[in-house]
Amino acid sequence: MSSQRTRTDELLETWMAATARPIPNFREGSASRRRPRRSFILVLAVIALILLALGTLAIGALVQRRSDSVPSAELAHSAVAAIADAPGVRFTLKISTHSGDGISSTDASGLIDFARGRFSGTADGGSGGGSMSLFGGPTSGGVIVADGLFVQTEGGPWVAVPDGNPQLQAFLDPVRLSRALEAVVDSSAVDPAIRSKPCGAETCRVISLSAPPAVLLDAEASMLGVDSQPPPADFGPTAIELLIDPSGFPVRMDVTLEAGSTTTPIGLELARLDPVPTISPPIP
Amino acid sequence: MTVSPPEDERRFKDAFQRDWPAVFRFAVAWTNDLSSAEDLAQETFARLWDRRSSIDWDRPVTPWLLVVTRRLATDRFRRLKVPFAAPAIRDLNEDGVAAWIDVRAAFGRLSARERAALVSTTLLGLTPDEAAEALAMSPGAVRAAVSRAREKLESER
Repeated sequence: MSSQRTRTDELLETWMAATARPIPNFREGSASRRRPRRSFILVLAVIALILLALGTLAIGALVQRRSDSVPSAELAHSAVAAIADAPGVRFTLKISTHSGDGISSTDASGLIDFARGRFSGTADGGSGGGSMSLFGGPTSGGVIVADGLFVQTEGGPWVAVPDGNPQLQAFLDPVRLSRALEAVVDSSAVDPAIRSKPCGAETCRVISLSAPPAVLLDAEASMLGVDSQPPPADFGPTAIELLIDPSGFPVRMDVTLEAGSTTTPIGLELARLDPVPTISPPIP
Repeated sequence: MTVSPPEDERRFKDAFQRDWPAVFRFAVAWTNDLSSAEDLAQETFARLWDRRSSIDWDRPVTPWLLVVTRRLATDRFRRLKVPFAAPAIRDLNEDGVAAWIDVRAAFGRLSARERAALVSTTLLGLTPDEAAEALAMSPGAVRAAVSRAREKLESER
């Protein structure tokens, strides 16, 4: 007698195959202490996005006025003003991590309304799957901050989170952001040379910066109010390349985070929004 | 019974080799997430390592490991609530990605307890009593959860 194979049997067999892994080597200490590199890099990637999305507005405005060397102190002051003045942005973000384990990727896009302190974003873990906790996760989801915090997970219904999220609220605080950005720009090495590079049908000006690891770490702590993990010993300075179109607007930014053999390139495209489309709560 | 330091390290290594796959899979079942499960499995064995000199090695350690895994996963969820941290990471090679996405979506329709009960009893070889201990449920509740899980998976086409 043969038993009929069910859908559950098929799924369990696939699940078993997908979870077949070689047994790793055990290393003493907690998981978080043992595996700082991946989580640290990924957190920094998000922080870099937040800081640089705002920073590009300031830098772009500055370069529109000046084409010679750009003092970092002036950048910082301009950044503070830009955060207060910028109505909002539309962002498209691509993050990929290349390591000995393979390549993972995340695509995200959304709106930030600085004036009203509102945020709308969706993200997909792409081919790598895995955690997508910033945007509701675990592999895809959305976040809206508009008269409350709302989260969507895996294409499901929007859910209101009554207690909010202090870290997300802190992220939308322009004063806190401006201070964190000022510290980053002040401590980064800004290449005085401004190069040119094709961007679409136009020629963009290119600014290069190099941010030391400790600066991004401090920014993470001050912005999110969290205790950061110590960076990997081989975490190097973060290279930032900014493309600014003829109007002075920063249209693209490329950031590369490196630690040992792990490289995380981040590509961010921005569009200035004035006025900003209304970001409304997804549910009453 | 506690054992001498060289012996407790040997027992730990034996347990790690024997139980890591089950702990990892139990964590995947609970979280429906491969990368979180890797961290949880490592954290679970870190707890065992810390207790290697005081744990009673004459008793089966697997149930203790699964309970710790579940508690760590629950604590992590409560602590993060709406987590604010990591973008996606690598989980599988290219060939396994499509299959995993499909099965993860199907298992995503189950609750964590339904997934863990189903996996524990059908794939990890636990009896309903053993699964009940790991999941802090009654054996009857485990059986009911397995039944519900099967019904949901069969109707998900």
